[in-house]
Amino acid sequence: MTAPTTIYTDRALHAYLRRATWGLPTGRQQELWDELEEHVLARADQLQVAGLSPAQALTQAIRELGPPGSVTLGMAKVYTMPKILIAAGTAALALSAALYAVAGGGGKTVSLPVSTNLPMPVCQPKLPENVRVTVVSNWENSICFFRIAPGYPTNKTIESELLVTQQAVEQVVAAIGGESHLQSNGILSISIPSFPTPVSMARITTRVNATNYFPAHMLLVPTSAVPQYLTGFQRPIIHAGNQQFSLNQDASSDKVMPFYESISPKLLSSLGLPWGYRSSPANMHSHSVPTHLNAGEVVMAVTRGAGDSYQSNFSEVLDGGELSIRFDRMHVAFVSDPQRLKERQPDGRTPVLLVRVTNIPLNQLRQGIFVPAQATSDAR
Amino acid sequence: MNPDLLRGNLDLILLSILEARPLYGFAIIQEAKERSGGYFEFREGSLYPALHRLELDGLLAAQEGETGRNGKPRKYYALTDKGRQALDAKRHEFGAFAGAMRQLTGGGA
Repeated sequence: MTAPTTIYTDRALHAYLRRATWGLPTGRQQELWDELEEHVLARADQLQVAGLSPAQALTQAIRELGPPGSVTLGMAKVYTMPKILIAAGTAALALSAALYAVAGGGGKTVSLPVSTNLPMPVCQPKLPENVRVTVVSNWENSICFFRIAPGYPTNKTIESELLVTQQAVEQVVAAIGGESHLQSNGILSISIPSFPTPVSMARITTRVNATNYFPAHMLLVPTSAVPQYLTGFQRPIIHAGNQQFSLNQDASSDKVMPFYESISPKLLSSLGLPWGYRSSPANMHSHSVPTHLNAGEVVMAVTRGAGDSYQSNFSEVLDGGELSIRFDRMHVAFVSDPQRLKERQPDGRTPVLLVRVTNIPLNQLRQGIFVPAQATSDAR
Repeated sequence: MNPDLLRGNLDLILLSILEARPLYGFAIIQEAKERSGGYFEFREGSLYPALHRLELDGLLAAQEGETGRNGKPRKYYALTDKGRQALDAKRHEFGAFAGAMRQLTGGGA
């Protein structure tokens, strides 16, 4: 029997719901699944307001449901299911302890190193002749390679991209029930349940000491039914399933590359926007925006550039809900929908979309869109 | 709280809570807790089977409500006419039971 569809669920919650609705007539199974899921999410919200973290709140809300087997038995009696199912449900009570262990999780935190300033391969349509090379990837009419012959210039290093190891990507993808597969041409594809084709693909960005590195945004899979969410600005943490992955800068890097900038293409894509341009720091203006958000939340501000390209800037909410953020415009107006970024404001202000990107399931990032009470801002 | 007491009066409790207005599962639990000063705290595992049973028996009717946190419409439970009749009957029944217990035990209830 295939499980009913869900929009938002933690892996442990998914397992609980599957067990609690087991054996019910198909229509009733989906009905009860939705009811219990909504119940857990409502209770988790309540617990978060009381001060628990999202993961703790969800775990406790699942616990409070009681053993899933007791729900199964109770429903079996209501729908006069065959005695064999009732008997099996009784046995399932014994399995509930195991499920509780899953739901009670206590997910561990894994530290993931991130790197910048790594040597980069050369990429061109075809290999040079009479030059010894090591091919890193070959995809979409572009071959990336390292020259290994002596006497050639050292390879170009990259400073602006945050990279993670292949192992890091595999760990995070596994936490959401997905699979990653490195093809012989150096392309890593990521697959998740219920999607027939890979949801994400990227070539090896570089290879150092036999370790493959990929862009940090490969850690995020916004389409995953097992949601991921982010916390922390200076020390970001990716929450995936029952696990947390903290991102630690490579101690050897001499330039800190903000994590959120590196994942902005994925975040913009979640909002249905392409990523495009980057303003020069000299053209940025500081804005101070009062918000209703808690200190520590991270906000992404999106503006539209020439054509259909978009830029995002990130900032952390300070005590009292104050958000100090930089745009390349002096006078802005905050809008409530990504589509409104294309509109010309009658007063000439530039439309800006504010999105809270922490403590929001990445598959529902639109829920983080907000318009502050003060709907316009002028640079200080 | 003695769980046997709750189990034996669960239908009366749920029908009473839903007498004034339809509610969905989570809200029913909150209402029960508030109106009883925290005395009644349901296990969700017993709540939903009871609600489904009362619906199957025709004492409650399901209504689709606003979109919940999971993107699906919330399922509200509303008292039917049959449910109101059952509620009256159970109230009388409980009243008689409580009165008899008071006489037997010498007060307190």
